[in-house]
Amino acid sequence: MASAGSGDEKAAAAAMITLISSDNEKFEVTEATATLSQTIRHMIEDGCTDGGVPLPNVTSKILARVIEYCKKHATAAAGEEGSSSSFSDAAFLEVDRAFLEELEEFDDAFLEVDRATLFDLILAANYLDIKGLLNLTCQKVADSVKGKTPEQIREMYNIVNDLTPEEEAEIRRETQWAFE
Amino acid sequence: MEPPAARRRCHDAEDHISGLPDELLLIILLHLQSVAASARTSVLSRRWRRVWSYLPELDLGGSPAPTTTSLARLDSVDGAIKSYSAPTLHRLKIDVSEIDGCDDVPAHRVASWLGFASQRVTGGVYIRLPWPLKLSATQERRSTEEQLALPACERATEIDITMGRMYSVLRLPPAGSFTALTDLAVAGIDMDGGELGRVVSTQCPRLRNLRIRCIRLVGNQDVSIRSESLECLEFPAAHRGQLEVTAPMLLEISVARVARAYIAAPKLEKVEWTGRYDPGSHEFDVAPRHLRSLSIMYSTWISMLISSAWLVHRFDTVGELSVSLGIDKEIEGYMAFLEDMDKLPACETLIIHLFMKNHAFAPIMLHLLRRCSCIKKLKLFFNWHIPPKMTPCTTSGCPCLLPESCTLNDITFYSLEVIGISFFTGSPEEEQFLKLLLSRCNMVTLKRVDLTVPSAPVSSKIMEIVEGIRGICCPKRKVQFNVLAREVPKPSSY
Repeated sequence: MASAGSGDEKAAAAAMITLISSDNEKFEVTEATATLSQTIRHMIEDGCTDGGVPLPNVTSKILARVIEYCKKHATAAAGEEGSSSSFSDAAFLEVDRAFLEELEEFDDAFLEVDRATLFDLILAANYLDIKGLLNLTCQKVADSVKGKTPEQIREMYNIVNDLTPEEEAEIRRETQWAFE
Repeated sequence: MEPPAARRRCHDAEDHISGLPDELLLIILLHLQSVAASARTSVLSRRWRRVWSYLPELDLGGSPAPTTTSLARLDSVDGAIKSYSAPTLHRLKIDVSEIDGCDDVPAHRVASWLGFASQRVTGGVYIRLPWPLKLSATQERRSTEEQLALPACERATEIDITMGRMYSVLRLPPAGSFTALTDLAVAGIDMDGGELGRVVSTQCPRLRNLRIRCIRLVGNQDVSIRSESLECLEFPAAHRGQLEVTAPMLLEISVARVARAYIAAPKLEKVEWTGRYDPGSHEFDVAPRHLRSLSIMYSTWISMLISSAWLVHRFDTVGELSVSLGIDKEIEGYMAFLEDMDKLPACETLIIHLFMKNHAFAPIMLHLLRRCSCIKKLKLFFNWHIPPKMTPCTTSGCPCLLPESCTLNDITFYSLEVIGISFFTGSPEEEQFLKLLLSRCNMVTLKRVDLTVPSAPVSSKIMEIVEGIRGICCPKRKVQFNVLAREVPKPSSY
């Protein structure tokens, strides 16, 4: 750690942001981590982050997970910027690849959550405007649906079919091209 | 007793997914990467009925199940378009180019796709039709003179259509405007030169890139383009009329065979001219004397058709000069080459494509190299068929056989840094040429010699030859020699 009062540390301290969840829990994160969220990035740019950023739509349980994701991916973003100039260097490429693999493993493990949490993460990623997390979670849902019949999808997601048999038959006629 | 998994599911019996707002459901559907799979969600429940029909992008026609008939594929494209509900969509892609056993897409279907695109698309429109397998089938269809009309697309930013020679003529709209269009690419259909010029000049105020490929001009052969916005023009279509371009922002132009041309483009940086260039009928007006890149074709074989050697005299300096060479086997052909290529613009990078081999190649290369002694980079492409047919010139008295044609004693390449040769086969002729070239290089400046061999893996014989050359020419081993193997592209149809 740098000694107290050094310029570096001041800059680092200034770059910390406090996020406040809907249940009033406070999370201290670096600006680099927080700005993966476009929503928070804009708040920082507008200078409205003094005294913490209240996030009334996100519970502490979900916010903790979102921060976990952002921390990991903020490091990745920093790594990418740093290595772009040494693109031709095989050693750097090797490091990059190992890092990307690690990131992929992290993402896979991150998605090992129950369904309710997955949908809460989608809503949080959308509210906070974190493109990577939104794509990651939506892809997970899309993958679970791929190759399934409508009946299987209904069962998997507890979707109640409120169409009358006549209505369903009509929709199937309209979208017959999609079932062939 | 109930298994634990089922108990958990009962515990979590809420329908989370249907509660998501439409915008999020659409993101999930986009991740399905299948419009059909998205459309099948319409039968899940009332909530889902119309969600898919607001997808911001439609990618249709591609990757069907192997059992899908071509008719069913076309029906599915039409079905998706018919059920689509959103007033605008960002991107429409219809790719039926891989349709199997069917080289017939009725014009009325394509017309309805273009109509849909013109009304709804705010971003890119991409349409790919198959190229018919049998020419006779095309000719038959041509006799029906089925025309296709492209309506004005007010909001599309990009239009890229490949029509596969299915219809006779693409008609452009007499009125209306392509207000947002920045990129237009059309291929595989005939067009009227007058219409094309009018639309580009008066109905496309933001057009930056225009690519016209595999197009024949019918009706009016003259194309006259006046554009304040055009930056890049690719026009490799043969035509007998005049190409007139007045474009103050034009940076790049690529032209093939055009009978007469007048190009007024003060900012021009890059010229690719692979057809005939004759100062009597082709004119660059107010264009600069310096270019970033110039590609020309020189051939004494069918010179009247494709030689653009005269163009090199139009510019004093060029960053990258690329010359494609084909020299007739008669002495006259070789003599004409010596004369026509007597003066080249000063350049930093010289690229030579040799696509015919009727004469000893070293004297040809050396003739050009003597005129470009200040180059930093040299790239040579020997594109004769693999394995190279070494057909030495047999015409007695041909200057290419004279010993003095094979010397470089009067020249040193003081600035040459990189030499690249594709494909290097290690023949005695190539070996001798490379040794000669290296003997005239400044070993302090020269950094790298990249040799690409025609087939993987690199044979030990070639490595021996390369080591031999390096040992003799660059004994201090400061110069890096790279030997790479590349897959050979299929022999071209020269």
